[in-house]
Amino acid sequence: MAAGAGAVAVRRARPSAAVRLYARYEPVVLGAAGVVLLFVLWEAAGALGVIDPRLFGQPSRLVPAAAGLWGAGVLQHHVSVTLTEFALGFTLAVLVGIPMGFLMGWYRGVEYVLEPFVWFLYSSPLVAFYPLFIVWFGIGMPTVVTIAFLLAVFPLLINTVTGVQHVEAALVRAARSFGARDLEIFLKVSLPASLPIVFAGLRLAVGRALVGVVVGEIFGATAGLGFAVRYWGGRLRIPEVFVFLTCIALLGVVLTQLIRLLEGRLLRWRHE
Amino acid sequence: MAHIDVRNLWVVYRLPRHDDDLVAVEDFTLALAGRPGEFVSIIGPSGCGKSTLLLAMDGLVQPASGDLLIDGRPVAGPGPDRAVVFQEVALLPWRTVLDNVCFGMEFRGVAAAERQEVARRYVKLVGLSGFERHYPHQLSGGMRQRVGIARALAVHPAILLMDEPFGALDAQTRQLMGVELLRIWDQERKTVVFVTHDLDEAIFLSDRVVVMTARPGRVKAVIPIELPRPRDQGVRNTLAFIDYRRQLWGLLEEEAMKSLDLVEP
Amino acid sequence: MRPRSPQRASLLLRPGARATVGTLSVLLFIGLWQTVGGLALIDPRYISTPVDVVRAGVDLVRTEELWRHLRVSGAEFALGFVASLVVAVPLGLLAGWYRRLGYLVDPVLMTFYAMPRDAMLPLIIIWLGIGIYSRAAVVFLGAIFPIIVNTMAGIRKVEPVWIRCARSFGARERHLFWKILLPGALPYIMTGVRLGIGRGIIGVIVAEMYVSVEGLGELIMAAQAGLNTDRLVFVTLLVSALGFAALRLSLSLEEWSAPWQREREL
Ligand SMILES: Nc1ncnc2c1ncn2[C@@H]1O[C@H](COP(=O)(O)OP(=O)(O)OP(=O)(O)O)[C@@H](O)[C@H]1O
Ligand SMILES: [Mg+2]
Repeated sequence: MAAGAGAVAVRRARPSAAVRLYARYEPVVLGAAGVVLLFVLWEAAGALGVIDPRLFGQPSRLVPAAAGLWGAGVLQHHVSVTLTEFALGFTLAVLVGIPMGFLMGWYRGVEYVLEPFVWFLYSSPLVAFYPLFIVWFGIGMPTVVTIAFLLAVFPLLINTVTGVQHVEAALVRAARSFGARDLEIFLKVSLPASLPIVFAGLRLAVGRALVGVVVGEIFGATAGLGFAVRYWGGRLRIPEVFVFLTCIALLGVVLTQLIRLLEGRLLRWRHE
Repeated sequence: MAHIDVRNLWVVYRLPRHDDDLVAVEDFTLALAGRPGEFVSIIGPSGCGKSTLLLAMDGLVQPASGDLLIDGRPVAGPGPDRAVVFQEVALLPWRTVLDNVCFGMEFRGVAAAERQEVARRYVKLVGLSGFERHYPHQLSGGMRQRVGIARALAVHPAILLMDEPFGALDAQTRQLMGVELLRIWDQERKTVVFVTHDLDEAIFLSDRVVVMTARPGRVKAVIPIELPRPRDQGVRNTLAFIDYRRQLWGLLEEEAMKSLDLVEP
Repeated sequence: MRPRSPQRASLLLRPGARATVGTLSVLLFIGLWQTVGGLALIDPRYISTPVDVVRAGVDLVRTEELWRHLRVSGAEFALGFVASLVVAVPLGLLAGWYRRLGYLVDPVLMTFYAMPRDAMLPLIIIWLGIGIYSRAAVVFLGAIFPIIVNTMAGIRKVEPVWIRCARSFGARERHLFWKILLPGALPYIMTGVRLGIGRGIIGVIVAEMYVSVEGLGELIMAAQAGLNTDRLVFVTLLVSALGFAALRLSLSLEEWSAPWQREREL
């Protein structure tokens, strides 16, 4: 550097290595602190009698409850049922929602015919249909999967339609001017260009499928995390309820992060 | 009034998650006459620190060292004596053209009715009459830039800091806006710091042109432009003008190549 | 962008084609439903028929019963939703503006945001009983997290250059808040409001179905218990229609808040 001496002169005192390390990981450190703080406050509030731990639980009481449930195999059972139902409902929603979305986005006729139903069902609290599903399918997995599927499929469908229709006209025109055919335009331009909005739909769909599974289990099942919360709640076993709620929360976080990971992989060209 | 004195100015950006700081402006010294206000253009390769320098003059960026004086007083922050035309234009998308032009006046104690009236006048001045009720997203890039110019002029600053204000305009409008700017400058005798990439524009408008080096930006040369005023378009074809252009071009070319890593500095 | 040339799809490009085709398609569906149910191709106890559904609806409207339940559901929703707005917007603004506060609360917020909070219903009943407050609390929990998270995102996406520009013209902190941060974040807040309304409606219905004392959810449960499919379908469709109206309303609010944003994720 030409004026090296001058450059050194303006350098402020370098922060120590520890401070720099902290600065780099500040979001993670503070975030973890936030979680820890929450649990500490919860524990302390119970210990100091601010809240009644028999009603509002206490982290230290969750551990034995979790151990008991695990030892009896109950925890694993409900988690696996919920995961299976989620996987079924979500996969079905993807298999139906994305192709249908592309069809609707691509063909005006299909869009016009289906549009009223899609929008109506998208905005409807579909959980309300669960008594009908029980009438149709009985109590258990088919009903739960149906509710999860229905809640998840519409945001996916609608976002896919939006994605396809908002691909820049100039891109399609450019492809056509190079001689691309409809199918090629679809595969090489519309499909990749619409992926960001499709992923927004996928993110919503994960959340809504989980709502569908858990709520479906609360009402129309004899197994799964939602059922477990209702079951233990009915017996006023608060620590057990919290254990299952924690499982539900963790499931939500893990599944959302997985989608984000996939999104980051597939959409690396997108700059934030 | 409005005399700017920049002495040995250093501006350094701290990069988060980086061990090294980035020196954007290095040991920059320049004095601008305040009465009558001087028109100085700054040219230099992309990324050399021109915008940073302007922001520092407005007090939006803290210098690492050096002095920045306006009429002998150090700059502590933005003040009513200065207004910036931002390179990014920075219009508020939820405000109409007229309300965007009013924006600057709202912090300077101008009564609402008067704001409207003044804004209307400047909207007209930049040739946007009829677009008062439009939103920024309904305008072209060049029209948006003109709104940014009107917003800055409307607060009657003694010092006008303009960062590539005509960058998105077509060549003709650009020249006409340049003439218009000179007319306003002539009337109100502001001190103007004008960043541009257009050499002809710099020569046509300025009393002096400052050439900056590639980053970190230092003063490479200061060229006084001794063309008679008032100037008209004809001056662009004079020999003197062409000489200036050749001289500036030579100075800039070295730096541009350096900044693109085409030659070892 | 669609692939087809305008000539080939000309019928569908006519003005009004969208509405016409949509209406026809709905009418066709209703006709089909009536035929299948009316001819008992599928047992109408399972799917009812449009005529029976309308009849059940007329009965309900006549007996005043519907209005009572509607009022209850509306009150619960309003209570929970207004409370969530009052808490969520200031919190989101603060956590968006103060970077460190944002880091601190981010994982906790994200966890609650990602989890199906309706699952807390059994606990809430234990805490608050089966009255209107527990049901409003479910709405509150449903709506508050989308609003906080989106408000935070809105503040974080305010362009630094807007703030810089305002400072340059002499804006104070309080000006920054009212003239830049709030209007800049408004579109995102509105997105949060839209998502929150959706979750809130699900919350009302789920809570009422669970507690089964009063409200539209209770109507649904009662119809199911009485094997009254006509009424069951009517109430579910009514709830869906209300959800649809709320969505449309919040979408237009969102568009009004940001006329410069054309595309939005739904
Ligand atoms: N906020 C910032 N944080 C970190 N670095 C910055 C910041 N703003 C600018 N820089 C860096 O400072 C240098 C100078 O930037 P500046 O915007 O002043 O250049 P410029 O001369 O205006 O360029 P251009 O002609 O392209 O507008 C660049 O290397 C840029 O990367
Ligand atoms: Mg610049």
